[in-house]
Amino acid sequence: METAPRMSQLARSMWLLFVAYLGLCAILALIAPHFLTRINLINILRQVSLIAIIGVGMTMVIVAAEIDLSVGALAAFCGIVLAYLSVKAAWPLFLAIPAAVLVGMGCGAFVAIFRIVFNVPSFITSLAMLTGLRSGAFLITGGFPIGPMPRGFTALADGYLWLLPWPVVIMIVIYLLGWVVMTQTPWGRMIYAVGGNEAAARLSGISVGTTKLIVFIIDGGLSALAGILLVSWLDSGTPTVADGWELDVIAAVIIGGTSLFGGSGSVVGTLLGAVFMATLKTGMVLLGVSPYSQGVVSGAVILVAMLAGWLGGPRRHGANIGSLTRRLGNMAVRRSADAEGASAAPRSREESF
Amino acid sequence: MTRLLEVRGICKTFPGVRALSGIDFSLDAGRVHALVGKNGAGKSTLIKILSGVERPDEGTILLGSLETRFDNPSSAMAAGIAVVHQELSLVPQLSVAENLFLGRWPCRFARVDWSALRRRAKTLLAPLDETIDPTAAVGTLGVAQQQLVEIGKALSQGARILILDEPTSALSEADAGRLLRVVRELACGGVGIVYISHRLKEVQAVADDVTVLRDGRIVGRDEMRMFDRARLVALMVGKEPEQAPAIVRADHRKVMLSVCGLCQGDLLKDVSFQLHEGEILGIAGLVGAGRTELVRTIFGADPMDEGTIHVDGRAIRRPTIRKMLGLRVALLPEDRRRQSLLLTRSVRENLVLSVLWRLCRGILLSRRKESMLVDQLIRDLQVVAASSEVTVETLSGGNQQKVVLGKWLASRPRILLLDEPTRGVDVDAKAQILRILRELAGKGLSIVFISSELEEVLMLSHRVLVMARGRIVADRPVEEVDLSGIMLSAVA
Repeated sequence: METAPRMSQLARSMWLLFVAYLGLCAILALIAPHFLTRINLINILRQVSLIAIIGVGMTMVIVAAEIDLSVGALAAFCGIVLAYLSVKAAWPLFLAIPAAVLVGMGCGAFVAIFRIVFNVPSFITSLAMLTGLRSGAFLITGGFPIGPMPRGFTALADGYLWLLPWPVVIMIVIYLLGWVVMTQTPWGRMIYAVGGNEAAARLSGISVGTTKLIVFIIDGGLSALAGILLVSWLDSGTPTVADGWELDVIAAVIIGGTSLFGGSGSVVGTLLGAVFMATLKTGMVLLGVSPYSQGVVSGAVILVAMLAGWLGGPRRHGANIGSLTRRLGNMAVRRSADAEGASAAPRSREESF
Repeated sequence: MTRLLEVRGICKTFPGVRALSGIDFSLDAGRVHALVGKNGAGKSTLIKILSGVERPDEGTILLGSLETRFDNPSSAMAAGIAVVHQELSLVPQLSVAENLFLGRWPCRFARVDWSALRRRAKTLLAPLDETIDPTAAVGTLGVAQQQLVEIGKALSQGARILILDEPTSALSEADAGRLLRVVRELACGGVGIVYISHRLKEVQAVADDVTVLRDGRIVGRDEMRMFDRARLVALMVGKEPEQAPAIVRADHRKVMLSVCGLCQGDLLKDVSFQLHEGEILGIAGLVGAGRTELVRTIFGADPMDEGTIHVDGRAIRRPTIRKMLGLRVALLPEDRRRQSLLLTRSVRENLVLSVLWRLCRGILLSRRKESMLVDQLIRDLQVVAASSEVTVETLSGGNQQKVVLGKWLASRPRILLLDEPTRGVDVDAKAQILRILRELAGKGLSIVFISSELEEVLMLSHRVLVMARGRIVADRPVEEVDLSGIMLSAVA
């Protein structure tokens, strides 16, 4: 075709986010003295890595028009499984680590099977899993951390590959894989198709159930991986960790431009979203913002990001600046008309019901 | 006899289409006035004008003897005009009584007066169907009873004029009969009823007067007893279109698809037919006749109860979508937005959706293979889009449909099942699609073509099946059928 492809909605919102991120960095570099140090930047990356790793799985789940609220609890639970197997049951790590990952995949599959076979919304099943797994973690440990882990295991989280901590390296590898799967393979296309229009996907010969199952298994496996890295960082399996991570992960995915209704989104956006939120949090700490107000700022940022997406968004829901002003205008007109007519016609009130 | 409603000289033009011109129509109290016509004759536009959804370009509406203007549906409702559509507007989770008085529940001290509500519901339902329990959730009722509740709701709002739009299309024969009795009783009680239906037998049974519309004009209007069915059909159909240019007969070619004794619940009853190589088989029939169910069942999208299907001589035990795609059978479903397209994805991604694995090198999609296929499809089908990267939702209906067609042509089918491929498509795109289909058939593709526009079926098909109430009622070469013949067997 002659005309160059226009930039897609998603690409546009990602650029917007990227520019906003650069702006945030510039501001922090100016006013927070330690922001631009190597240690701080590495810290941000390390902090973001675990949330971001789960974010790849969550992006796939949300693109497939599902949701998983159990990722935080699952990460903690899988960490406990690893710590229990290697410390209490004395399994070697090369067995205990795959076992923990398998448990994570199994829990993901469980949510998917409820969705596919019994048609229970993944919101409900994963909410049940959230409470169940968290309580399971406490049951196994009796409330106390299991540790210390075998010698050398902490190197997984502490160690560096050249300049980058291992969790960051792992995150980058997983993002590369996630990007390839989502954009370069038939599986990725199938996930977008299933989330975008399930009926169309089915009639195109795509197995909707299998696609969802695989997506949840990946999501569960990545949550387990994050849990394992967390055990390595803390040198113990602790039942209280990763509390509320599901919200951080979902926030990163949504800020990254993925639609909660499914069918569109990207892992690159999720990475940007996660880094953005982590940078903001670190910045607030550096600036000495009180922990009590930090949540307010994060919440406001999420809202602003959503509003920006809504205003610049496609016209299909009638949601853009033009329609917003039109709607506000209409409201104003109606209100003034009501005010005029109020005294004249008691009947008109009845009709308006 | 009191005149409830009269319209004079109504004209309505939509961009590019003259929907109604010079319509005079009147309704008296206690009469059932039937409105008949083919698809696109202007019935729905007239209803929309009567119920305040659309405003006429010219003409007047008289209510009683007062000239009126309906600005919106609620002003028509306030004037006592209610429409009962095919899609019901009830809340399935609420009880019958709550639905009847939705938003206008009797109150005592700001609290819903449940006993009064039930009492009033009971009184209201008595003439309609005493067996309906006012406390039952509407969702638990059958379609026929829900329809009665909808009518009751209209009456509870003081409707004096009731417009019933194809009320029996989803009902069984017995339920339809019951509904017709209720309609008669309501008319005896002084309500004026506008009755729209394709089923001429019912129309003859229930209506006092009839108005026949064709191409936005009134072509016949009188008391019902002045018409017989053949004359009604002749009026609805009008001039016979010119026959399509002579098309190659396909009898001697091999059978590609053979369906025998196919049954599915109430929807399909003992359906048998054969489709030859390079043949276009048109299926005509009313909405709800079982055409969509037939092709969906063959494609494996719906389960079948009984029957056998052979594709190219191979017996298919239980058709599944994957199996049928493997045999190179494709289905273009009736609703492109809901069942075919990923609206928020690009033209490119939509076009290659059913052939992803063919475009791979190893496990990675080959951009080169993909863009070659996409470019070729866009060229062949003359899809008008700024580029293959724009989202499908930005395209016009005709171009969207071409993308859907392209998606299935990409899978190189041997048998193509098309369910209303020209619905909601502009004239140019329609002509292009029909031309493409004819070319494909010339190259040996076998096509099943469902359309509610009879002229189109006659123009394109080699052979025509007519379906009614889940059965095939006629199966003839196109030379031996004409519009009125098809219409007569479809409405019987």
